[in-house]
Amino acid sequence: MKNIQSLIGNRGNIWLGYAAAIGAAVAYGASQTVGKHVTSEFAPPLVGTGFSLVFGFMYVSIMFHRHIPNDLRTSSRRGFLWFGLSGIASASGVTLLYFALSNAPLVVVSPVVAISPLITLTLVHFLLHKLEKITRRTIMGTVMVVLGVVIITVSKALS
Amino acid sequence: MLGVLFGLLAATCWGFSAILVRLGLQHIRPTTGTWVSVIPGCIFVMALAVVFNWDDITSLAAIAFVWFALAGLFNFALGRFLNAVSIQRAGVARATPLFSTAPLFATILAIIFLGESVTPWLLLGTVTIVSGIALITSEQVR
Repeated sequence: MKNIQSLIGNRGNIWLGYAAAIGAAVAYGASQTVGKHVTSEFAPPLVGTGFSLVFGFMYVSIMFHRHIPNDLRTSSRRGFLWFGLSGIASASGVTLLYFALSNAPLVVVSPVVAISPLITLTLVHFLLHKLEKITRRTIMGTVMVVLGVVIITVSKALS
Repeated sequence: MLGVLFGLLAATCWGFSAILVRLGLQHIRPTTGTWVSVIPGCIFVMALAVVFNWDDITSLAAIAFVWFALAGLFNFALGRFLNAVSIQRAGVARATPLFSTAPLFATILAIIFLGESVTPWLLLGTVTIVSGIALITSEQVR
């Protein structure tokens, strides 16, 4: 991994990060499309998400079986704590989204939920200012992405 | 009002989740981190599903599990892992807006596979998102 990093350099490393982020967006988009089919045909959202998580856990266990036992022995426990809490935060987000959707229509909830990247930027500013620098360009770009997502989700919810 | 409040709390939880991933990546690899992050979610959501939707679970059709498996593959095995890799390499501030463009790709996939139509609003949203991405990524090219 270090050899690859020295080969591509810091700029290439960041571009790989951008590619991974777009790849994640495509995967999440595909999962939303599949999820829509699951909830309309087979099961309520909570059941669908629960079983998807079980399958996800099995895939990840198989895919990364070479790293996991070694990291369990050698890595800092703090890393496990942060990632564990991240999993709880993410699952709480999904659950709260269901509560939100059961109390308000999608057209109201989707733009509210779409501001998540702006909340992340605010949290980075206050909690990670020593690790990451936020520029005006990042803020403007994030606002435009959020605006675009709101336009798409609201227009879909209204149609 | 309650729906908006829950929506805001959901967005805040996801914001914190990304921050916690960034902190965790200082100590462990994205592969193991992804595995660890799926465990509490698995327990938490399945417990809620058993409590609130037990009747639905007992009456599930066998084919439903094929779709659950597909959703698990896209959302957790691919999405969450690539999410962690992107935060590790590009940083949480630059990666988060990029992977939050998922609704755009969901719409594109729905047009391709479910036959949904292209609307002017979709085009406007796409142009706005792409411009935002260009603005964020151009910082590194200068």
